[in-house]
Amino acid sequence: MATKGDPVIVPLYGVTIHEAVCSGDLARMRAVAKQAEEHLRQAGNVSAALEALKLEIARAERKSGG
Amino acid sequence: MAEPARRPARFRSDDDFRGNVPVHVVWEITLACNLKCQHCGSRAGRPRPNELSTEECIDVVRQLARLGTREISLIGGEAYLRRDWTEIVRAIRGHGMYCAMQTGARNLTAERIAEAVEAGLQGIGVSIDGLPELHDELRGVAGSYDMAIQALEMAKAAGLRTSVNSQIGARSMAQLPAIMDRIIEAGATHWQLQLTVAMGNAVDNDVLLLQPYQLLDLMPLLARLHHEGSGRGLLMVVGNNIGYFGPYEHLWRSLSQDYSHWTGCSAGQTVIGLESDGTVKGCPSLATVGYAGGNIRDLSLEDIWNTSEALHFGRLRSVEDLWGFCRTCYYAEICRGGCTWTADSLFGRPGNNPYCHHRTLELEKKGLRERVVKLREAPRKSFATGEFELILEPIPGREVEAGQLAEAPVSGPGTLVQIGGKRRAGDEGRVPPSLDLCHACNRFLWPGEQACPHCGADVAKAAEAHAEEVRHRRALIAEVEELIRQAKESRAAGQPESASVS
Repeated sequence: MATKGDPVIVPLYGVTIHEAVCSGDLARMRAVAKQAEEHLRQAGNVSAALEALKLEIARAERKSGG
Repeated sequence: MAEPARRPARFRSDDDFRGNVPVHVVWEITLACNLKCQHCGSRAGRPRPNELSTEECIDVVRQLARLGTREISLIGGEAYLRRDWTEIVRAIRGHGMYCAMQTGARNLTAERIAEAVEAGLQGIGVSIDGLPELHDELRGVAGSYDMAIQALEMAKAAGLRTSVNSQIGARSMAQLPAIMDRIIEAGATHWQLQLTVAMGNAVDNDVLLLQPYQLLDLMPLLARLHHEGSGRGLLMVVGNNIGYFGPYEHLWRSLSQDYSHWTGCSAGQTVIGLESDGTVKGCPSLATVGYAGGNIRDLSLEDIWNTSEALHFGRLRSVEDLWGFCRTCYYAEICRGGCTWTADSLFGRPGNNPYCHHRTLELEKKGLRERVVKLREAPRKSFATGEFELILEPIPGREVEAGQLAEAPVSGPGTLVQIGGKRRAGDEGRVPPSLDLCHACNRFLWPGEQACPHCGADVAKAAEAHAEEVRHRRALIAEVEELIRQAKESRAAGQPESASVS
């Protein structure tokens, strides 16, 4: 099927096309992957805190004779 | 990077093509310059003797707005060496046109940037042609690299869109990866790359020029940098003289959701170049001699744009105007010899352009390569050209394979495609045809091909397989986005997250 993107002019002495941004599926996947990584990073903070919490629970239980 | 809120000013519609609307104008508002670039095509330095006055410039802006221009790039020389340059910026913005400046950035101070922002300037492109030592040498001023980087950072801090233009020559090619690192660090979001062309100072210093056969190494490098840059927030935009129709063409010019490709030189059709004395050309980089269409002091811009034969060469060009390899190329009708400036500067006439990836690949299959050699110097005038010879020779080490050289190398696969006959001056503008993409090898082909002339794949089957990949990809994007959305909602509600993103 014929492509129908926007053919862009890029004359060689001029400023480049500032208003264009990366688009397409690849750009979108990268953006979503970044969001997912940020999510995991935050979840990672929770995981680390959870481990510390479990250690404290175990310590508290030992102290109270549990 | 997010999708743009509106269609970029420079994107052209079929109506723009049909109406020959000069969507983008590159305007040399002065030839005065404070750098001494070895590759400067316009031999900038002193202002022209009779540069346009402020009033004349404001009138030019008005005329451009009436013609339908949507974007103006201000250049020099060095644009801000004109005392009234911010008045010109203000006038452009007053007509709602996008306004940016391309600069070498020597002594582009924070104060100058602030004044420009206040006048309405929207973006700055800074020229950086190498790492510090090479850049300073090429630009002829010690410390010019540091000033360029500093200008980039200041412009970004001032809220301007920031980009970098880099010329690719024999010495800068190897430095491109390191240049990219530096400009990303300095905050550039767009990077325009273009080949150094044999005009003006670059003819004097022809060792700067890349040879056509070096595209075989350059293009894969650019493709790698394109992907890497894109992942780091930098959009690579290739200039009009980088191409054409090799396996990476789909990367270079696809700036929206769909694939796009080179559609031929737009000089005099949707682009105007203005010299600081009022000379009008179809493209800013074209030679004045032979391509100047008139002067706005003698005729209105509208009259020049609509009647000047020197401007209309692009509107009238057909396959018949091509020669050499380009004449019988598979892509002749759409490509039309690539960048007019690049070919014309070498040989004194456009229509046969050795700086073409498809061409170098086709020659390479036969064990051949092309090289340019200077025959004659360029006069000491702005936009002057010399003369070069095109040498066709065996690739070193493959002499036996190359055998007897044909007089004119046979071009690409498939038969020559010619659409329509000779155009006439009064005809509606040419809407370029759109090619299909073979999803097996990513090469463009004329609609209707059942087998890809490059890789032999079944075009329809490859398209089907690609469509399935796209469906899978988009389903995955949707799934991950939904999981993240749910996780955010849970967090906001203070509840334990039940969904996990792995």
